[in-house]
Amino acid sequence: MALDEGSLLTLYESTAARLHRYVARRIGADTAQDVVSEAFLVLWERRAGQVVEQDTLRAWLYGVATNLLRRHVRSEDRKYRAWSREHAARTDVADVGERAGGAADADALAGPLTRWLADLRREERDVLLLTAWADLAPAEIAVALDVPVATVRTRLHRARARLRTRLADHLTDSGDHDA
Amino acid sequence: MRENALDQLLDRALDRAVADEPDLTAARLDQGRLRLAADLRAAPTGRKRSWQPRRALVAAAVVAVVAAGGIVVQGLGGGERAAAATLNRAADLAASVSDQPVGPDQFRYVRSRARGITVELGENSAWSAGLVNERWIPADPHREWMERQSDDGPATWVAGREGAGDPPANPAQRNGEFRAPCGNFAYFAATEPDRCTLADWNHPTPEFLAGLPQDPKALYDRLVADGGDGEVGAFTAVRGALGTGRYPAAVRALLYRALAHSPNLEVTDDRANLDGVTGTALGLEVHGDFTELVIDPADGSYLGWREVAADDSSLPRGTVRQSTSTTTGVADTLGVAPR
Repeated sequence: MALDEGSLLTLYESTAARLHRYVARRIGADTAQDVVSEAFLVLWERRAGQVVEQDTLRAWLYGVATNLLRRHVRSEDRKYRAWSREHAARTDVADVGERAGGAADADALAGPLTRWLADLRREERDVLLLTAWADLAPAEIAVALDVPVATVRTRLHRARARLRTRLADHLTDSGDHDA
Repeated sequence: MRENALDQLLDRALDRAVADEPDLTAARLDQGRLRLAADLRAAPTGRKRSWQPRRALVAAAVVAVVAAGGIVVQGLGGGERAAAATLNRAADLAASVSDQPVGPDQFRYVRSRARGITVELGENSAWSAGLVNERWIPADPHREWMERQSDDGPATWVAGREGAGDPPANPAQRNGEFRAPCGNFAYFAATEPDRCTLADWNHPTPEFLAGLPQDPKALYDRLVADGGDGEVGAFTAVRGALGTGRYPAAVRALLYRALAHSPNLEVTDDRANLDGVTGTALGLEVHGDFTELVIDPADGSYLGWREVAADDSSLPRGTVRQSTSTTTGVADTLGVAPR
């Protein structure tokens, strides 16, 4: 499909709500709407007239939005730390461990996890959150960020390894030893 | 804790982290769409009107979908009936043509020549570039296909719209030779559908063709439904279909008869030059351009398509912004053009 006004509006209809959800989780709903609007215009400026498949166009849109988020890196960090503090009270670490993967535990861990997100390297965080919050596959993220798929996988692996380590430490510190 | 248990916990915690942001309301979503549509219309001349010679363009691998909000479709009165008559006449001629059969070890050969003008964003400069794309499609589409693409000469500045230095060339990585069963070429992204099983207007399998309505009005309705955007969507679906070079004469004729039901389609040029061949152009006005398909009035064959500036916003009215001419044949050998 050639990217013309009509196809951009079609992309808006199919994708804006989902893109907004991803952006809002990173920087808050108030700023997210502006970033989403800007992402469509930047995509238009860069890609108008190009003939691409819908999936590629969607991946590019997420890539543009992710790059625009770099301007908001401070508010993103602040948001994660604030949310983490706010939700720390929910953490009942004594219950965590045996029921790993259980919903209650995940709720309890979401607070500290969010703080750790702020500590991740920028490029690892992008790949992790495009996977977890935008539901993009590694191949789509590669298109979005214009990096090889192998790089996406490496970054994702590293981000997850860092978070697993923090998670294991957190559970150990809570006196919850596991095999 | 085992690594996979930690992974599961991590995934679930990630799902829940910062998940309490409010969704965009339907009203806000509509508002955003209106704002975007207004922004797109705000500066029609200052915007990049870009033609990028892409493999998919000549391969007609995709159907453009144009949303209702952004279209201007204008009939000029009287021309619409002329279009229906032209299409039905072309259908009569096309139906009488017998296709050159493709033997079990032969290939359908489709050669497309594309040219287009790119207008640089915020600049006066504009350049023209072209490419030639050849495809060899085996009689059994699950066997090996081949595609070859090259620049059609160097890019040149449009007279009176020259920029500094040489005009930007087509990206070199788009050129070359590709071979793959089913036409699953390596340049497609991993997320692309598998062409071994894909069946749509741009990938007509025998089953897909057999399932098409035989009544022209019913076929038109099906094109509208599949095109996703009323009349323009139906038109674009037909353009994509004919550009594949893979539709038998009887179905081509049926597609013409279906398009005769398109209410605003008009004869936009009865002497349309496409790559040196003159045909009848039928089209719709979409976003300040006439988007057209060009038919040979002598035998109803499909010659290609054009986009022609319908106003003076970025190129003078009547300028061919982009065009693709398509010819087909039967080849005995992969990589060797017939005759």
